[in-house]
Amino acid sequence: MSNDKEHIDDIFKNHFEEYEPTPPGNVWSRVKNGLGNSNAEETLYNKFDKHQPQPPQWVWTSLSNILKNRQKIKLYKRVAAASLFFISLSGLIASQFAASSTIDSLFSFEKDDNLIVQTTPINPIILQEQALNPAHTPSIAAEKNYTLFTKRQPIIKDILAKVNTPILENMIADNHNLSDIVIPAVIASEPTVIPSPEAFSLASVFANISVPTLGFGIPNIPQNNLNYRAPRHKKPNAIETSIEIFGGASSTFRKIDNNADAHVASIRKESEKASYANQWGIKFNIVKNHLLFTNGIGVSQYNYTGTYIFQKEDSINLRPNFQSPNDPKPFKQEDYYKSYTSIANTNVLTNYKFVSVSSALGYVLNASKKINIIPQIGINTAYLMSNIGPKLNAGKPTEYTKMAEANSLSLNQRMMISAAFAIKVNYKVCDKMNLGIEPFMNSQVNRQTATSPLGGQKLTAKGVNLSLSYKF
Amino acid sequence: MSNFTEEQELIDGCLAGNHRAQEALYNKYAAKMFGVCLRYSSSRMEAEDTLHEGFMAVFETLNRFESRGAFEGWVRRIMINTALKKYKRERVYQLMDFNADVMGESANENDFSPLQKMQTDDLIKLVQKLAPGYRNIFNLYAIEGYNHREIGEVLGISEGTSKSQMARARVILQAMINKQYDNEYEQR
Repeated sequence: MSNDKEHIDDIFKNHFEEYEPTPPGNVWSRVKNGLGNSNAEETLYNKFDKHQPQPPQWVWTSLSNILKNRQKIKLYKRVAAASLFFISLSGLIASQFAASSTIDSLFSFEKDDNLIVQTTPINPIILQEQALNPAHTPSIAAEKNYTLFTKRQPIIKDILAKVNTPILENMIADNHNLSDIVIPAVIASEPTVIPSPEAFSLASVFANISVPTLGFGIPNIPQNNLNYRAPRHKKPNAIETSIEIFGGASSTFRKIDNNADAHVASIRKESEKASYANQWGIKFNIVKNHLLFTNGIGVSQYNYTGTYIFQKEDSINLRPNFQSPNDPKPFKQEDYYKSYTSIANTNVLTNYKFVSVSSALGYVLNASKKINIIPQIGINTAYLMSNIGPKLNAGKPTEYTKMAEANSLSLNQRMMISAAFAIKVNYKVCDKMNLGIEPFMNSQVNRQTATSPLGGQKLTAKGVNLSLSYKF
Repeated sequence: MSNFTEEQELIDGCLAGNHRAQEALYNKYAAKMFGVCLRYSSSRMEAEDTLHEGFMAVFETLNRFESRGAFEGWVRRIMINTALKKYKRERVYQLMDFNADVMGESANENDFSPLQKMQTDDLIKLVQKLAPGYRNIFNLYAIEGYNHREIGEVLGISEGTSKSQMARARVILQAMINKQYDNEYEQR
């Protein structure tokens, strides 16, 4: 069996040993072209050149920043921006010196007679494989290459430490072994040895240094495009202002104490159900350092349904309670009585209409590029404008009643102050516009002591506002 | 071109960047190496690519050639390494990718008569039909003379795996040979 196996192997081997098919002619053309381009394509300088922001672009960017922001930033920042400009300009000049020398200026080393700068391209992968292959005995030439490699490696580390540009890091991160980076530098087409290792870097490092941009940000500069117009970066600390329209629905409820004024009614019932409400208005928002300060003005209306049952019929005692200071008409006792009796056992829809002014502080959390979440706390001050409402008969308004007035807040306590809590979620539609949704809760903090028999309880509102804001 | 008659002169000329020397070197070994590349490839086009990459590697690493050894063997090893590297890069370990109906045929390992009648081009095509993993092991073991331990090191597999796959490669080849012989017989 073993012989059989060897037999088939031998047959193949015998056939293949002298097998010499003619390769197509284009293979040599490809090899020739590859040999002609290999040096130019693989030098390290070219790799740098592809990725590196050029000093002229830094100069342009810094200069345009100065010009565009000259009226908007403080003096010391302008000075710093000017410094950036001069640093960039110096880098530009230095880079010209660096560019005038060969790549060896970047990876230069002291001349060493033991080193040979190769004039033939070296495939670093092959070199590495052979170095790792224990069966391979390195040739004399290979030993020299290894020597080169060993001596240049610390220089690379030194460069990494000095330059700290993302370019070199990226090259290594892109699965380039160190030898991939070093050896192409070794195989520069002509052997050029630069005087000393220190010479390498001052100009080159200066040209490649990452310059802080004082909050302007580093723009993504198109390569080799000096016509690039620097984007108008807003400073992170800049004040951002916006105007916002909002509106939404809410539900309100009032905690009812079932303690009717004995002079008016022996029993009072009010619905404890949440009543519907709505609010709308305009806000002015200011954001700085993620802090939001917002002021708004709006109107709101609470539509409140209550059921009142009056059983006491002492009309005389009603007078002080039902008299409205705004009502010029002198009330007669019969009117009060009549009024009193007409509202007994009646549902009354009361419309509380407020004008409110709100102020709140918030913190802008950037959930994503598009979405901000802004928790807010503030004060909502509402002034009761009117509170008339129709008497309801089987759910339909039939006649107006002064019961609404009876249920009103007293004139000198129309001000309702609430603590406001909200969490606003903004969606960035574009640079200028945000859409927002804002669940909120307003909890009244002052007690409006009632001159009326039925008022005086604290109001709580919960709702959701939708908003559209425009930055300017 | 004909000035470069001696191998060492060719090498020296290539090291000096002489394009004529490079072309002469290429012409001298291209056909033989193309045969190697064909064995390690699944198609002629792939073999051409391997040949191109291999000669690029030859010229790029020529300075490290030891003049003590045979240059042809060195070039051949670079070609093989290039082919294997290409295989590793693509990592198509399609060891079960062989033709199932071929395996379904009864492979009589003792029947070599069809094999002996086949031409080299036919054998190349058979080898190319093997799944890359089998093909590499078969080439390295049967043609290049590597042992299984060396194959394991080169391909990054165990020695046992190399042995078993070599055996299966033989069976598959034999089955393909038998099938091809049967087809030809039926056509007559």
